Amino acid sequence: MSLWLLLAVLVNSPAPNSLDDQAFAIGRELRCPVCQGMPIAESPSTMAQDMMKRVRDMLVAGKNEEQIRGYFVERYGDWVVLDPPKEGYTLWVWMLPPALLLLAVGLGLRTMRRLRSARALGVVSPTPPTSTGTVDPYLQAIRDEVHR
Amino acid sequence: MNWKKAFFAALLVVPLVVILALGFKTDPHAVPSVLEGRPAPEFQLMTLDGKAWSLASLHGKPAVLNFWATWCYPCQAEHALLQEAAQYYGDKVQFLGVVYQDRGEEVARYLTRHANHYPQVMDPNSVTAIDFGVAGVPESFILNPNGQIIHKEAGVLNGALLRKFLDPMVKGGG
Repeated sequence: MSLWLLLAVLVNSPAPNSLDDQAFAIGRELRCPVCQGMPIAESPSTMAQDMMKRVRDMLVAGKNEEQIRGYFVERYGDWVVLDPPKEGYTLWVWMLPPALLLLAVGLGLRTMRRLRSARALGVVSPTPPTSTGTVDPYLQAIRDEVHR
Repeated sequence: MNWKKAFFAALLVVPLVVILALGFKTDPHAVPSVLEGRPAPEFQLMTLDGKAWSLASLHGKPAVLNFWATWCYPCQAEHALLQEAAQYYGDKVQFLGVVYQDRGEEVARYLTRHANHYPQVMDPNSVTAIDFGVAGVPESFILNPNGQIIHKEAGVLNGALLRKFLDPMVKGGG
C-alpha cells in the first residue's frame, strides 16, 4: 500500500527543473513594480504576470538565469532584484547586520566579564541588603541550599 | 560623564541618523530611471486602425512617448496637456501614446470623447512597457532626434517640464 502511495506521489510530482519551476525560481528574485514588497512570481498584478511571461519567453529562447536577471536590471535598475547586489553601495546592507551583531555580542561578553570580576572582588553584591542592612532570610536560605 | 563611551556611542549613532535622514529625501516607491542617457529600446506596435509604429519612425525629430491607460485618472488629467503640446509643437516633435494594459474598444471609446492629435498604439502583454522599465502609468519618455532617452517622467507631465526638454531641441518651437 505504501509503495503504491509512494509511486503516486512520484508520478504526480512536478518534474524538477521544469520550465515553470525555473521561471518561478527567477520570478521569486524579481520585485513587482506595482506591489513593490512582492516578487513577480507571487504578485497578482497584471504587470507582474506580464513580467513572468517575459521570463518564460526568455527561458524558451535559451537565456539563462543571469541573462534574464540582467535584462530586468538593465531596465529597472538594481532595485528590481529583491536581494540587493553584494557589491558597491549595497554591500553595506549585507555587512552591517552581522557586524552590529558581533559588536553587540562582544560588548555583552565584556560587560559580563566585568560584572563577574567585580563580584569576585566583592565590589558588587549580587543581592542588595534589605533596608535594615541585613540580607533577606529567604534569599539567605536559597543561597545556603545552592552552596550545600 | 564618561566621554569615551559617549564618543563611541556618537560614532555609532551619528552615521545611522545621517543615513536615515538621507533616506527621507527619496521616495521609496519611486522606480529609478536607469535608461536616461541610453538609446531607447526597439519596439514595433500597432495603432487601432492597423498602422505600425517603431522606434525608427521617431528618428529625426524629438519625441515624447507617453504610456497611459483609460482606467488611469492621472492619465486622463494629463491627456489634455499632451494634446495641447502636440498642437503647439506641430510636426517639430512627434508625440506617441502607448496604451498600457487596456482594451482596444475602451481606448477607441475614450478617444472619440476626447481630442486626439497624435497616434496611439497598443502594447499587448506590456512588452514595450517592460522594455522601457515602466512601473505604472502615466510614465513618459522624452527622446532626442537620435532616439536617445533624455528624460523619464514617472507621473503626470506638466508644461514647464515639456518646455525644459523640448524647446532646446526644437529651433523656435510652436
